[in-house]
Amino acid sequence: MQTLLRALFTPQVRSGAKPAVLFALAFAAVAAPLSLALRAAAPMPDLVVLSPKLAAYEAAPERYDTVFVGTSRTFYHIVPDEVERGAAEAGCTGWNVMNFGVFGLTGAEEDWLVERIVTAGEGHLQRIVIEDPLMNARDFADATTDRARFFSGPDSWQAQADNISSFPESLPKRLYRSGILGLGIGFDLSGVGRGAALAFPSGKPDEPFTFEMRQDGFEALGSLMTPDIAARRQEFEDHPERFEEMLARYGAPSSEDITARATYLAERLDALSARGLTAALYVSPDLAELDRTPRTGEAVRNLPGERIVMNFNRPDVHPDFFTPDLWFDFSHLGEAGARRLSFEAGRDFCARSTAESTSQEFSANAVR
Amino acid sequence: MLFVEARFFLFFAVVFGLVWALRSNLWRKRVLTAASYVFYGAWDWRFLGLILMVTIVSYLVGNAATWPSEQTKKRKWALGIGIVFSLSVLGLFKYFNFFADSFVDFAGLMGLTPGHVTLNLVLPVGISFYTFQAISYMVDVHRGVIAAKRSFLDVAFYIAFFPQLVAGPIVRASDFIPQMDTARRWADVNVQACIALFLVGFFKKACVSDNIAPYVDLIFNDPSAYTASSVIAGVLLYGIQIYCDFSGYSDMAIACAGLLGYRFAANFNSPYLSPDIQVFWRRWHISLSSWLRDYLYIPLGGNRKGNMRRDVNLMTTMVLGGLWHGASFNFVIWGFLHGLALMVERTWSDLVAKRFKPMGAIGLILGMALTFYWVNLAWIFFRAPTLEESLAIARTYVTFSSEGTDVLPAIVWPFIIAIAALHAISYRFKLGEALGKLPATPFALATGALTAIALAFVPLGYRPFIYFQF
Repeated sequence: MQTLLRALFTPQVRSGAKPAVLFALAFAAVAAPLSLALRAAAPMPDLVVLSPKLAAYEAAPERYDTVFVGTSRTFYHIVPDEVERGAAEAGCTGWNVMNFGVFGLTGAEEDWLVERIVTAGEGHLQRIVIEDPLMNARDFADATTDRARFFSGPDSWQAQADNISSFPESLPKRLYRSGILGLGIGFDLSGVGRGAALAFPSGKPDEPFTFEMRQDGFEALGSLMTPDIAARRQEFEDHPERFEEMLARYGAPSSEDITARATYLAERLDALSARGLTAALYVSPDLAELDRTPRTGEAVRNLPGERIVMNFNRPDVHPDFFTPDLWFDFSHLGEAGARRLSFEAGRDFCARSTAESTSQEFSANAVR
Repeated sequence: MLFVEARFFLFFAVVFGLVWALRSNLWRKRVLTAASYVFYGAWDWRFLGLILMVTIVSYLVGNAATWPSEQTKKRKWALGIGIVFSLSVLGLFKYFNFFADSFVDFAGLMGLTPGHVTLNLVLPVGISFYTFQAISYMVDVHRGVIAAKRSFLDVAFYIAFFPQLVAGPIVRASDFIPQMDTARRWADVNVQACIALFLVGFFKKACVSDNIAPYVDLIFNDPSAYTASSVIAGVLLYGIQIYCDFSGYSDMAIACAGLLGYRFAANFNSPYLSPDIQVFWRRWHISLSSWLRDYLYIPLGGNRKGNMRRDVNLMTTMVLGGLWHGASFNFVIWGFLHGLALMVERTWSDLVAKRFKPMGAIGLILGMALTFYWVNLAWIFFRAPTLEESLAIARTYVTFSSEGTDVLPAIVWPFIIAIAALHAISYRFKLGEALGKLPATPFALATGALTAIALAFVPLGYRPFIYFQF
């Protein structure tokens, strides 16, 4: 122990303290502005699913008037054709829907993406549906990926902090996620690799990630099998008893305070509405989140003000979605389930948005 | 664990703190030896036994040198067994398949079809370096250059000391062992010089070598697809890559050892500014070239037995030096080309150069250009995956013609020129040393700023040192 203490406070360490501080200051003073300048000069990294979908949307924003933005539960659950069919049946004909689901979408990413979509779709976009995004990364390796780095820039700091602070989690977990975010920001601000990527372009550039937009952004889970997807499916098939166990979690008492999260989502919906869009919150069926997202959806609905909330993660209201044959794994529906859900989502969204506009017209007339 | 990885910095910080916190030299050596085994085990713990075995044999053979003088013959036998053992370890892991394949090919030419035996062996990292160090210890002890170490720990420490364990420099027993007898003093450590040297090495490896590696790979993987200028640029880039990679590693190894209180001799001295091949070999991988000189070329007779024998010794040394790098005819050709150049230079010197006045600066520049050209020609065989590829690239390099149409990014030529200028300026003004001599405050500020700039130019991804494969 004495040796260890001596190791910490050797004369070498003591005499090196001042130069070390100066070194760190000089490093930070050069690295941060250099990194920011290089970040500004660097193109957006090529991100799986996100980049090709964004490119497709920005190339032809007139093709869509309705966009669903969210996680893999949007990506694998929202079939645009079925949404359009459902909406048409409810009286909303001529909708053109795009699925902008991106797996693992976090709060900062969703904010950024929504802004890009709304900006590009100005004049065309009428309706936007957002999903409750995921919490921030919890793995150290996640702090240094291209995607994490892109969303660790100063523009995303506020959104990152909002997502962490609003997510219903214990303080230690929030601190841990904040630590990883700090690591990611530090990594980004250090500038590591930025100059190299710009100064030494690849002799033979990698093929960009492509995505087949034939189904307007939807992909049936399992149509492309990866080891990870196969493992999730296998786990679902190997443990049928868990399905009922998870269902039992619905409605169970919870000590988690979801008020902050509901406010977080409501603020985003209100901001979109203020820009003249019909905005809605979509809460996807998700067995693994039955103890949380249904409550969040209802909490948003119960906040003062008018908001459209499509809460499908409620076995009591939508029992049809909660039969094992419709599910691919414990968090995602298979294609049949996705089609059924999408049709219902289209019908529900049309009904609610029509009701909302009628209500708004009524309120406006009443005021007048 | 690479010197440029974050986990190495953590590892080194712990070892550094522990070593300087300990007062006992014995405990410092124990900690450093244990840390070296951890360092090596981080690659593949299975080969720790191999280092241990080499160490045990070296220790026993070293102690055999203390046998009474009437047992001279036995001592020589012990040394012989020790050297054969070390070379056998090297031969088994590195050359068995090469010689087995070559034997089968040769037998095939003779019309014979012997059974083919191939061993599926993983090449232990750094095996060429630590076996040579072991030989250095045994030979130096038996030559009486240093006394045999009674302590097994000392021999283990010398062979395994982590800064030089996996890619050199090959540290002579006679240089290193005397340093371990007394406790290193912090007051003798030139911290700034070590940090400056580490930064220089880091820059060479991470900012230069690792950035150009993908271009070199492109050219050497498919030379026929590229224009002549791109192929030539690729060859020159490889010359830069291997120099920055290996000398960068050596700089960092020397700096790490220095921070722990141990001095290693320089392993490189601006070799591409050499006016001839002989000087090149005094400046390139100095620890290997001097090892080969002292333990092979001179024992073979050196230049003491006439010009013909000198040339044979030179060629033998260079070809074996080529084979030291790996089991391939390409390395043999690489060594042959250097041996040939040395022989031609000596003959030129004997027959022509002595009769004329030196050409001064023009001669120097011409010599440097010719040497650089020849060294890069030899690098083609060092780097290309097969003999056929080597010959194809060499043809383009010599004739400046290629049927390919692909080109490397435009940045490569200005980059080559910039690196050449930096190399010359650094040699002329000793930039690294000048940085190390700054007063403490400017030094801290300058290194902080330079590190930030360097980090921005470190490409992401794992790229091991080229010399790890040797």
